Amino acid sequence: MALLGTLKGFGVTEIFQLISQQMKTGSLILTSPNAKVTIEFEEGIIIGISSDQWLIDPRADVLIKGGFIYDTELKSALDHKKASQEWHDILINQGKLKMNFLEKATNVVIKNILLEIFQWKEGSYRFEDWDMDTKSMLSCHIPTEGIILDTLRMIDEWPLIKQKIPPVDYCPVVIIPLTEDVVNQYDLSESDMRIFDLIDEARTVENIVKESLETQFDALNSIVRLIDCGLIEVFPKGTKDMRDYTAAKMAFFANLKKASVFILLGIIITILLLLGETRITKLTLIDPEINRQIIVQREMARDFAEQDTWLLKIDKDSYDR
Amino acid sequence: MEQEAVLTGIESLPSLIKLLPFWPFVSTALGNFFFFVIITTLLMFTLVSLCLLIKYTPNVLNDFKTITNNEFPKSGIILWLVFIIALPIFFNAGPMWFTLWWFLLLWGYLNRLEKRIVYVFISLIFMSSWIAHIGAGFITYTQTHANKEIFCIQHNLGSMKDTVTITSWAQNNPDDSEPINTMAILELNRDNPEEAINLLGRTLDLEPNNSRFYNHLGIALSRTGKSKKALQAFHNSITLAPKDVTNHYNLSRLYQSTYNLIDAEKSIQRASNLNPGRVRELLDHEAANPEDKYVISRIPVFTQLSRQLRPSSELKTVADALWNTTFGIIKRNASIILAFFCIMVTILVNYRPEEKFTKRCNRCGNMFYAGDVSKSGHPLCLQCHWIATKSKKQMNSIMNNKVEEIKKYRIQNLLQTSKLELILPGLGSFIGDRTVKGVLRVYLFSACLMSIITGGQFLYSFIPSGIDMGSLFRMLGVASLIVLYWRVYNFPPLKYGI
Repeated sequence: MALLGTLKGFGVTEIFQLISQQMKTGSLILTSPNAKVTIEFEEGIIIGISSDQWLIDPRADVLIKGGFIYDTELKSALDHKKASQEWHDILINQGKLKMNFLEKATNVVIKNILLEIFQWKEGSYRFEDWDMDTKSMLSCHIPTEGIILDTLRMIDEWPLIKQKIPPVDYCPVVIIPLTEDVVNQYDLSESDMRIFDLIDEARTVENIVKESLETQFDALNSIVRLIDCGLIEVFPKGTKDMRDYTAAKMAFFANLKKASVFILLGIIITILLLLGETRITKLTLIDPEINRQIIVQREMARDFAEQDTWLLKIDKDSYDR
Repeated sequence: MEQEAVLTGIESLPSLIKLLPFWPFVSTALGNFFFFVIITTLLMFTLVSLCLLIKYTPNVLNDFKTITNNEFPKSGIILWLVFIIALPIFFNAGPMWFTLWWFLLLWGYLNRLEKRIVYVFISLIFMSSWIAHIGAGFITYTQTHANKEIFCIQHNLGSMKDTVTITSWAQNNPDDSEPINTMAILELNRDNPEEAINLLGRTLDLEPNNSRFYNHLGIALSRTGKSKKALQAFHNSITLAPKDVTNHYNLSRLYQSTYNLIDAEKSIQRASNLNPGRVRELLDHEAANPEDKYVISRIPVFTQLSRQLRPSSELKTVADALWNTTFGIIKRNASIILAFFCIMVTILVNYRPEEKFTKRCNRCGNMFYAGDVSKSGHPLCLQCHWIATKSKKQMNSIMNNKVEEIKKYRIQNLLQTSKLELILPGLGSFIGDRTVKGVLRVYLFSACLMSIITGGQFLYSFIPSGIDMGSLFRMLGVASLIVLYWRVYNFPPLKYGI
């Protein structure tokens, strides 16, 4: 059985949801103008992913960028690769790579590719329920609904975090050391604490993200959160020696900036009070002209009442005599 | 104390019907109704804008923090926000400027129904110049177009001052036929029919199709003994207004005075066919007062109502004053430009991407930027939107956590909205995204408040009617307010399980 269509009519979320609900086994091939991604499902659970954009194993790229393995080590492992042994098996056997780093790299790759495809607005999909070749795929075991919720949360919160991300070439510096009280006070997650541990005044934001083996979203979210809590601050790279001076200068300007909020507000209010024509000071709710008219009516009515002239007493008709 | 001289106690409601032929009463009643509706509506819009301000201020504050990258102290940001919200206070702005300013400030955050409320308000601004004109017409009803003098003289209540005023008005406004007709009636009362005929000739030149003028001409001519001409005048008046009993009655009196008893009887018969009660009334009066022969047609209430709404300098001044009281800053004739400007602002803000505005999820209460909208137009975060599409059977532990979060928020929201609804009926409904219910409750609350404060009395009949409706209105207002709070207490904006 094959299911196919375009992403305009049926979004990625809905396709994943359908496969999950029906507990289907098979391959989902998603094609966009730029990439083609294949996701293998087993009884509704994601068990493998591959993309035509992966020239080499994407985990290797993540691990090299994070500094967990070297280029040369990878080349050597690829050169000695056998049919029964993958490059990572060789490196693990050689003790050059730890298994948990590989798992984390797998997690990062999968989450990144899923985040990408969840945002596809155009393209097509095809689901085939026969067994595919899973050898070239990145193996995993991810409950589909969990990943949908996680990815949707990322898309929801990304615009908020995006605006607060510091320049990636800046170095975060610890301002307040991490204690149990601080963790409890700010309700920090494990991911936040791992990021905090990577801060050493030399690593840039970019390096920390790469070395954290977290997805970009989670790593940057933690950095923004730590900054918001006042536990860390970021400074330009290479200014370590000048940091104290710069920090003092920045602190001064930061204070000046904070003070300017109040000063500027005070100035604007003063100008508006001087130039504006605030109504409150006039203490008049209703325009005097309206009041005058109403007073006239009431006075007329009082005069007629004094003359004992009432509408109900007026003759219905007037006559010619 | 002044009021006591005007309002002399509550009389029976049927008395109201007796007052309907009297212009001061009708004008005052219509004016009071008009002002009650308008002021209640304006109060409603102000309260709605206040509700929306309370609802969306946390969202605006969140955006302020985001825009400033959290670099400024929270207290400073709050002060700036307060300053922006209260900006119209620094100008000569009426309460409606605050309402408009808050609506525009919050435009990007409003849901579909709330935006419709703003559109209604903008259309009100568009019409505000005309509304102010009508309101001013009611306020200045004693001061414009010699209306008061016309009424007093035609009802035999005129003073010398009224006579001088009407004469002066007729001289300065030779195209206005009604004051000239009133002067003719004065001349008839002074037993000067020749002068009345002259004046009525002028009125008929101005309005050749006015049956009342022909009727008065007939009366004046009969007084000079020109029965044939009088007969012709009465016939003209009947041709122009065949259903007016007075015309037939006066014709019958003319026939009777010339001893043409058959035609007199025919005319009386025709009048009786139209309104036998009225003819009986007139005949009874004549029997008691044989000298009161002919009936003078008074100016109809509708004519006086239309006269009082005609443009005049007095009316313009008061209309400007009304606009200035509610809006101010700009002139009344710029209200249409203001309405267009508001529309432009809303269109421009619509172009700003949705994700630039913080939204609170209607289900779980989380703040988000990039989400979705429910079918009813309420904001939904992507997680809740996705969960909404699943059946209960498909729930697993991951989703159960989210569902628990939603339940927790609902209970908290239910308690919060119920409390707020008791503080200001409608406030909780707006916060709980029950916009229609919110508008209805705010409107009813505004109406109750206006009834209690004003007693429905904004204008006064310059001749006292002898009926005090103020106390009745106040009692109705209090009773309605009690019913409203009873309903608010028993039917909170949100319910469990919904």
